[in-house]
Amino acid sequence: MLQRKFAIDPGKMDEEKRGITLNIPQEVKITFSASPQKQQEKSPADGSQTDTSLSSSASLHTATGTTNQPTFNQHPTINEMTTVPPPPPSSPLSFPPATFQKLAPKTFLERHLQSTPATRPSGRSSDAFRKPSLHTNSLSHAHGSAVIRTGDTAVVCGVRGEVLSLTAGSGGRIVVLRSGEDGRRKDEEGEGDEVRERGLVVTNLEMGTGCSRDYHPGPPTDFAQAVTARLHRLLLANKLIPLRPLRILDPNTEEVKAYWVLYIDVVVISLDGNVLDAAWASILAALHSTKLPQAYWDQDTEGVICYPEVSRYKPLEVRGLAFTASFAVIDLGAEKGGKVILSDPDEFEEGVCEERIMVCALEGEKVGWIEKGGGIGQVAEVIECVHRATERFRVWEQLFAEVLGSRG
Amino acid sequence: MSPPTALLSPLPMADGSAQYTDGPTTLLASINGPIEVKPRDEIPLEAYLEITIRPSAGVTSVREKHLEALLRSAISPLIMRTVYPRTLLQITLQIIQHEQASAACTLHTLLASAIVVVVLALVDAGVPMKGMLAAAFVEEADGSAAHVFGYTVTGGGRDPSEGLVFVESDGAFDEKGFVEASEIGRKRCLEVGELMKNWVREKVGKDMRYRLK
Amino acid sequence: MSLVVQVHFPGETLPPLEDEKKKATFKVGPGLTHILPSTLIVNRAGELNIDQRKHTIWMESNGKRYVASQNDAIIATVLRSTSDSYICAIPSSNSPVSSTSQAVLPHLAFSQATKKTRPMLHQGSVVYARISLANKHIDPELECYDADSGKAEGFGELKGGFIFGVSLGMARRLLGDAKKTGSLRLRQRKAEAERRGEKYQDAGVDVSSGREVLEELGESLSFELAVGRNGRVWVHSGDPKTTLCVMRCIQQSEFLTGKEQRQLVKEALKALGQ
Repeated sequence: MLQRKFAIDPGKMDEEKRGITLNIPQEVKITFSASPQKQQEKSPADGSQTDTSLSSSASLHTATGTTNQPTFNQHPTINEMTTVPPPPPSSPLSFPPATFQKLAPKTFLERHLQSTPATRPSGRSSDAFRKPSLHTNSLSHAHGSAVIRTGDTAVVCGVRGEVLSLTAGSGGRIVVLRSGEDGRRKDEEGEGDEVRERGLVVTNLEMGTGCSRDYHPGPPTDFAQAVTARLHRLLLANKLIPLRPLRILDPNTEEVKAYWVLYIDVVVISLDGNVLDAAWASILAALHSTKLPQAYWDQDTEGVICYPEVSRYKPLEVRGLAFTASFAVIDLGAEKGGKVILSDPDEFEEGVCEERIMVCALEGEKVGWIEKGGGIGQVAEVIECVHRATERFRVWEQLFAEVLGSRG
Repeated sequence: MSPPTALLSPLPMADGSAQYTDGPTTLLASINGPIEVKPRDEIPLEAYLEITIRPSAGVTSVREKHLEALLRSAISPLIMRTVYPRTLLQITLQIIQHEQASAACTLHTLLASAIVVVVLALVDAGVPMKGMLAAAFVEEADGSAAHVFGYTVTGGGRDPSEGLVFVESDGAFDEKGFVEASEIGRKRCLEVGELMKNWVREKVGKDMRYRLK
Repeated sequence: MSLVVQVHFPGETLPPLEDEKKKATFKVGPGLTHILPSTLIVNRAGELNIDQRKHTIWMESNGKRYVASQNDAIIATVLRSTSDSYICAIPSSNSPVSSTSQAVLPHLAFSQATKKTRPMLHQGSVVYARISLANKHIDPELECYDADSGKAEGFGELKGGFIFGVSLGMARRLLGDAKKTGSLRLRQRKAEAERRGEKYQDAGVDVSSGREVLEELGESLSFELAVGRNGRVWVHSGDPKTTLCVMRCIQQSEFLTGKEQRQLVKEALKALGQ
């Protein structure tokens, strides 16, 4: 989870005052200190406030705001900030919405959800997902590729097959297996184990340069690595990739002499929350559109030979569909509406809500994977998410059918 | 299967620590904090949680990162982070031993034990918490699904009857199967919770031993 | 012979307080979270202590990481000097240098200090100071004189000697807290017996104060001792053998009963040749 730090931008203060007047409840006192120098020593907020984040951020704000005129409606004596400590304003303060969003993100989101009808700052209702769009085979050098956009989140996935020869001295890859820490499950055909054991699928997710404000160049962050791990587990757990098309045989002896290894690379071009759903769907679409060259083992040359004609490329025969749906949960408090589950959170909502639920829906109204954490909740919330995820599955299924033709 | 055992404060130099053994899995967790935080990790009004998991063999990889993310989502709602703003709370988990049981999903058994040992270490360190969390592993008889549930054993928030904090479910199952598994998980969590309470009682009893004549 | 300690766990909501006077406000100490208006929730596992006379309520638990709190007497080490104050580190039980924050000790915060006659401290000097200001958001401030009298009263630089760590609970016991809470519990038990209409009979179990080791050592050896609430103890005596003996006895009596502590000291003194 990206740890959010909200930076207050003094430049934004000079925006036009068009905006919603949001009444701040009386129990929150916003106090302004007399001079900015004293600001650093002691926090002016008194300890017993209910919403300390609001008051502390507000006092931080005034430290930068002494040079530009703060443009919110205020008690007239605040202009004398440098000499006399003013009394706290008794009339409601109004801010332009962007400022309020930065000063008090949680309250901003709560206010939106408490209005009727309950909407999110982006305008969606709490159970609305963003409409996805899909384009496949846009990368000419990959064996399969897909670009998925949901709102402002955009990811590109490319699949490339490389040959892994089983004969010694052919420069095969070494895969380190650690027993006990690899998830395994009983499987009658034993196929899933071979894909996992030989490392025939390599997943990698990267945050492209400039995809989000929190982007740092360098090795993959903990966040990217955690998403990569999730995608990899989903891929192996759902056993979508069949083993047979990956095997390269000696046509005379029908022995397995080599394998295709699929390198799946996902690059996040733009991040506006919920990278998992988009990344997973892009992987699935890329795999469905992957065509690998027809290859066979040649005894004379003791190597793998591929037929060059594109018409002889064979599809990967991915089995079935599975789609993830991610949710963020926010607690409005018992009197104000309880818990609200937001489908497909965007970056702002992900930063505010700590509690998350992720569901992977399978065909036939089944569920393949559920993950919940970050807050104290109930089983009923998870069930609600399962219902929404099943509906979302149908939306994805339809999109895939349109773009990829009838597959899976 | 013998019942799980735990030892609180095995590490003298850590602020809090716990060792937990459940069957073939043995884990050791240590807590240090609140301590000084690096400026880039500093959060103005909260403590920053740093979670590190070390495998029993080999170097850390993406698997550990994933486990760290899962552990974070399970325990961070329970720690009162606003009590020590601009500090660091360091949580380190060392996998001492973790063998794969026959057909069980090993990530899940590891995760359930990891949550228990970290919560024990946090209580040992005296980190302010909103409640205690226990986790249990539930598996379908036919191996089609495996679940890890984390329920609060004390301090479940507004609704004390539920208190579901953490779910990690894998496999192919339907809604009914999930609800049934969650009930089994809840009962097991309460059992583990009782064990955890006894271990904490032992520790407090040892601390108060000086009162004896 | 067993001790019954009622342990409360994090997240438990305490039953409403029975207040004899029904009007006094209770001060909430460490280990408890106050939810307005009158709910208390435990946030640290330990034993609940209520002092009806002073109207305080807190959770008693042992730990090793010290967090600065107002009016505590602590042992700090000087890191460096700025133009008008010393920057000190407040170590915890098991770390020689503090890892939390740096405390400020003004140059003139010593008894009868003026610009010309103030004590000169260097990097590495040790002081016994009182925390005059502590807040979770800011660095703590220290003073080396007693708040009421303005005199040194033991605060100030600790010269020579030897410093070692003990757990926070042990430090509190050495300072005599356990005696007070012990008498608190005694009062409670007597009150309960009265309410049941019985005569109170002391089982003789919960009697020790945890500082028997000090009492025994003090009878035979001569040394100076300063105990900081941050889990650090300073010992000074003319002779290294004595210092080491004191240190070992105190460190080893963390989990010993009163009788065992006296026994430990007797054996140590014998080994020392006294």
